[in-house]
Amino acid sequence: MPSTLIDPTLEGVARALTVHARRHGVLAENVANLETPGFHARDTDFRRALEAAFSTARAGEAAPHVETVREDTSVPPRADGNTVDLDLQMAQLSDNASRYGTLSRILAKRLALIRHGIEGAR
Amino acid sequence: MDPIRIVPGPQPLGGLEQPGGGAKAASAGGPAFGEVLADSLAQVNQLQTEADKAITELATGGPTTLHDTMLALEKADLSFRLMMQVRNKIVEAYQEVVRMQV
Amino acid sequence: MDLLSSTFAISASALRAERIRIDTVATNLANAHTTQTVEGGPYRRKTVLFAARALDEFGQMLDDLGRSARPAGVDVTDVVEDATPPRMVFDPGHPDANPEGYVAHPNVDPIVEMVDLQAATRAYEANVQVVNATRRMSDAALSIIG
Repeated sequence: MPSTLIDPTLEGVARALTVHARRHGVLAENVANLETPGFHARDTDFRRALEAAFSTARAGEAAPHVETVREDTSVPPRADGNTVDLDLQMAQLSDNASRYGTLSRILAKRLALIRHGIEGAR
Repeated sequence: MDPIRIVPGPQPLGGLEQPGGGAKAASAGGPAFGEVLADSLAQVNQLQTEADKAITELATGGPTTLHDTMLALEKADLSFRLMMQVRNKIVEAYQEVVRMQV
Repeated sequence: MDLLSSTFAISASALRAERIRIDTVATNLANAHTTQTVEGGPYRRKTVLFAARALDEFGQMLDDLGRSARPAGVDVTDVVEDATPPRMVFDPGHPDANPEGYVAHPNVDPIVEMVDLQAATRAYEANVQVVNATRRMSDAALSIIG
């Protein structure tokens, strides 16, 4: 019965939230190491992971493997070898956080509707 | 309210365990209400256990995510509410049947 | 620790590291003209060394993302003295003048310090933003239960 309560889309949303949460950690680390000599900025393979989150949920499959972390090679190293571009990181972080927030609220809303559907108008 | 037990455990089903209660409803056609309720109860128990586990993991700093914990709580809550609705309908139906017989 | 909470720890380590760096700059500036220290000789400029923090056992969950140990924040590993020689200023009347009439002034350049201060402040504020973003995400997750 509960499997009809939580439809595949919502399961996909839950998995996507985890993808965003993991990316947040990696981006936070980049910002923390803004001034660390030799530190290379990294990012997760989140785009692929987001697609996989929804496609596996729709297909009723288990959650996909945890996505990989790769070095972000888009920024050339500074004199001390550090490749963290603060503006880029903050933009990515902001975007990622707002997607997390949006998905959370979508989930909350859908659950509220389900609850309303169960209890109905009294 | 005890903050940990947000979803109360499934208890108030005593009235429906009278023999014949489920059977009477079943004779009206469709799946036996007793079965539906038993399924519902099993799911509620399972989701409640998962929710408890999720809460404990979150509170003790285990590897978990906040959104998964919240979702586990909500699933347990929703399935419980659904079960209560099913129970209420069964009780109503039973009472109607009893009324008819008088 | 849950995924978002552990991010607080990462940002906290950065806030702490940058604050130590700012304190070091303040000390340098305050002692820019200290020609005689307790240890003898002029004040010597101090700088901080940053290193990415390696994953500890509590952060093991984050290790799911990669096979090798991944950084989990930053630490100040050392505060070292700048080896640049002191600035020698010809000032025979100065109490700390050497026999040749030169005074050894600290190797502190206020402009360099201000640039460093700016960088540290920027980094500090950026990590505060990260904390705010983490909090917003946590609040959004809590709203799932309505």
